[in-house]
This record gives sequence, structure tokens and C-alpha cells, in this order.
Amino acid sequence: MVIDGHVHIGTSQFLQIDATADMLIALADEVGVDRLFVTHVTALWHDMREGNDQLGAELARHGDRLFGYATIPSPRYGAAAVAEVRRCVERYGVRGIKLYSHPEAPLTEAWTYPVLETAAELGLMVLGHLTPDECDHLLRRVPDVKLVMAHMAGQPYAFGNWHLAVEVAERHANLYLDTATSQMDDGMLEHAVERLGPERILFGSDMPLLDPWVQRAKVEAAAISAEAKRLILGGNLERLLGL
Amino acid sequence: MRFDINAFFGPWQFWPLRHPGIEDVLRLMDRHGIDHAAITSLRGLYGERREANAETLAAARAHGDRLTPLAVLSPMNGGGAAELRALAGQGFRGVRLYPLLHAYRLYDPFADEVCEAAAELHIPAIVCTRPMMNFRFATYPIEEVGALAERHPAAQFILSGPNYLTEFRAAVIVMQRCPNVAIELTCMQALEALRRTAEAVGAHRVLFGTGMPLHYPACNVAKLTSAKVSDTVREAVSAGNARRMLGL
Repeated sequence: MVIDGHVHIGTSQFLQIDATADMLIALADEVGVDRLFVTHVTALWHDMREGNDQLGAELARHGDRLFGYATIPSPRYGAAAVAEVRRCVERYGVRGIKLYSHPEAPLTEAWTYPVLETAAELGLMVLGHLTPDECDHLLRRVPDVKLVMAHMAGQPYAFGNWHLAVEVAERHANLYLDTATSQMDDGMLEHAVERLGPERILFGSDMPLLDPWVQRAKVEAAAISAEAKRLILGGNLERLLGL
Repeated sequence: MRFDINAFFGPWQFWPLRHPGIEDVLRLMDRHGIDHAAITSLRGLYGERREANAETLAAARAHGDRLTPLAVLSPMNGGGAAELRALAGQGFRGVRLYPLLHAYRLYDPFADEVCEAAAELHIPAIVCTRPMMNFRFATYPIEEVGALAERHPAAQFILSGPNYLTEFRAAVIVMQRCPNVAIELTCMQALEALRRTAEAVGAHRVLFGTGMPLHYPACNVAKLTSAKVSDTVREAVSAGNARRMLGL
């Protein structure tokens, strides 16, 4: 089974995307992706309850293809953020949390810890748009949470430093790396597999911002074993989600 | 046929490459069905351009059926039109400009001098807005490429480096304003980048590039093979446009 662990739904002028579930599933069918782990951009960039409710409606329609992230625009919402996570689990059966760290609201603040502690308590994965140093900081305080470093540092705030992403992941057994990124540096996946093993690397496309064909090709063409590719493309998320 | 307009060889100071040598690059081309590549020594980006150009020429001459040399020019140590004419006489079919790495702007008289010479020689100027698609590298403003192209309507420009969002939009605006600007897609990661770019500016101005061995070639091959375009468009982007612009 191929599972894309990093997908956006909804409309965002910031990301210049306008994606419905039907559109994403049609695209997944073309690319050969079975399941999509989806975060709603309205929850990420505007109002968490509004966006998560819209995602919940799509999860109800496409429960056989979609998994949902409860998306929190900022842990500075405090108790309301934690309550929103619990609401999304109870009402929509989400399997993870999506968080985004940016200079305007960095996730290294103490507000983030209760959200991660809640994720650990409920067995939710956390897909965090985080730098390696931020991941290091958070996992020192909440070591039990399963944290996924979105883009494996291939994003502007992390300066593209996948070497450091792997180094930090070596220190934290609960840190996973997401392959979705504009970057396609030759050797980045081989390096990660060599240092971490394939079990902590998760395929993501970041579609429809990025092209899933390109993102899948990055994994398929890497000089790693067929078993490593199977794990990265879906086997690891199957295990983590208990499928 | 696949013609890679954006290939390199040599060591990379920021991390060890898996395929740095010219023979490594040829094997990568074979593995990914790339028949021909326009090649430049990575020494030309951060090191010394004349040594880089000599290495590039030697590699291309050794594999003339697979490789076409692209030179690098910078204003340091007297680089300019005379040097470009000499390089073209040796067989270079294009010139790469890295304003961000070589301490000048595209409104520098050096850039105008090189572009005038490139137009006379009928070789393209490949303007690189980033050295590779990694966020640790800064990017050069695409708008300045447009201003340069407007000053030199007889020259052919190839934009190299733009990615998605603002960069894509800026590139399209520049290309709509300047018919003498084309774009190679190495760093463009937006969904359906090839089709969208071809529809926005015309397929005759879009080129296939990989950035190997800095990048996985497979990623850019996937853009070609997955694009929802006609065979005519795919062939133009795969190779036809590069061959035409390089005068091959």
C-alpha cells in the first residue's frame, strides 16, 4: 500500500492551492497512491475549527482513502488547541496533528508541549513544519511523541539542511522524516536510510503544492533496497497507524 | 530524445556527491534515458572560471556525441565579450551567468557586454537564479533578468532556477513581456509544472533540465513522462528546444 503522509486540502491564497478531496483522490489514482493523510489549509492558516470541520466532512465521504490530521494554526491557542485535538479525535477519528512553525509563532514555545503531550497520550502522530533544532528542542521535552519533521528540513526556515535533519533524528528514536520537499538533492534519501534505517522515513508529496509524480520518483529512483522503498512509500505508516 | 540543458560535473564543496565525475554523469544519463547533456564544471560556480571552462571543454571534446559545453563568465579578471568570443570559437554553445555567486548585478555593464556578444555569436545566456533547488541557497530576482532581456532583444536567454509560487508567477510575467526568454524546469516543483509553463508562455520556450549530479535526475524525468501534453510538446521540451537554442 502506498500512503502519502503529507497532503493539503482546501483553498489557500498563501499556498496558492485550491484542492477538493475528489481532485486529490483522482490525482492519487493517477500516481498510484492508495491513501492520503490530509491537513486542511483553512485550519492551518485561518480558523482551526472551521477547517477541521470541513476536513471532517471529507473524511466522512472518503473514509476509505483519507486519513485526517487535526490541524492547529498555533499552540498559542492553549487549552483551546488541546480541546480541538480531542474534539477532532472523538468526532472525526483523526490519526494525527499538523503543526506549522514559523517566525511569527515558533513551536519552540512552551505552548506546544501540552499539544504534543496530548498527541502522545492519544497515540497521534504529529506532522510538524519544523526545523531540526526545533525538533530536537521539542523531543527533549516530550520524548514520547511520534514527531514527523515535515520536509526533512527541505524548507526555507530550515535552510534545506537535510544533513542536520538526519543528525537530529539519530538522537531521537521518535523522530521521523517526511520526504515531501522541493529539494531533490541526489543522495539525501540514501544518506537518511544509511544513518537511520528506512523505518523512520515517510513518503509525502505536499500535493497539490508540489507534484506527486516528482515526489514519488525521488523515492523510486533512490539507490536503496526494494524493501526500504516499500517501507518509505507506505509500510512505515501502515505500521504506525496500525493498519 | 532527451537533452538535459542543465548538467554539471566535479566536486561540490557543501557535501560529497555520489556521482561527481564525468563518467559518473554519463552513467546517470544512460540510467535515465538522457541522450545528450549541456555540461558545465562545478568549479565555475564558486571557484575559478577559466579552469572550469577548460575542464568543461575537455570533457565535452572527449564525449562529443553526448555532451555540449556551456561556459561560465564573470567580471573578475577581465571576463567579458572578448573571452566569450574566444570560448565560442573553441566550441562552447552557451554561457552561464551566476550574478549572485560572482558579485555583480545584471545591470552591471559586464552583463550588457556579454549579452551583446552572445547575440552576435548566436549563443544563449543561461541566467541562474539559484545554483540548485536547495533552500540554503539564496535566489536572484527574476525581474532583473527581464530587464536585461529587454535591453538585449536579439539575445536568447534561458532562465534557470525558478521554483513555484512567486517565482513561477514572476518568471511567467517576465517571459510574457520578453519573447527572447525561455526557461528550463530543473527547479520548478509546482504541480504539473511543465504543462502549466508551456500553456503560459508557449512550449517552444520550455526546456528539460535535471541539475545532475546535484539532483536526482529521476525527478525531472518524471516531469517529462507525467506531463499531460501532446507528443509534439513533450518532444520540444525534451530536446527540440535545447537543440534549437544551442544551434545544434
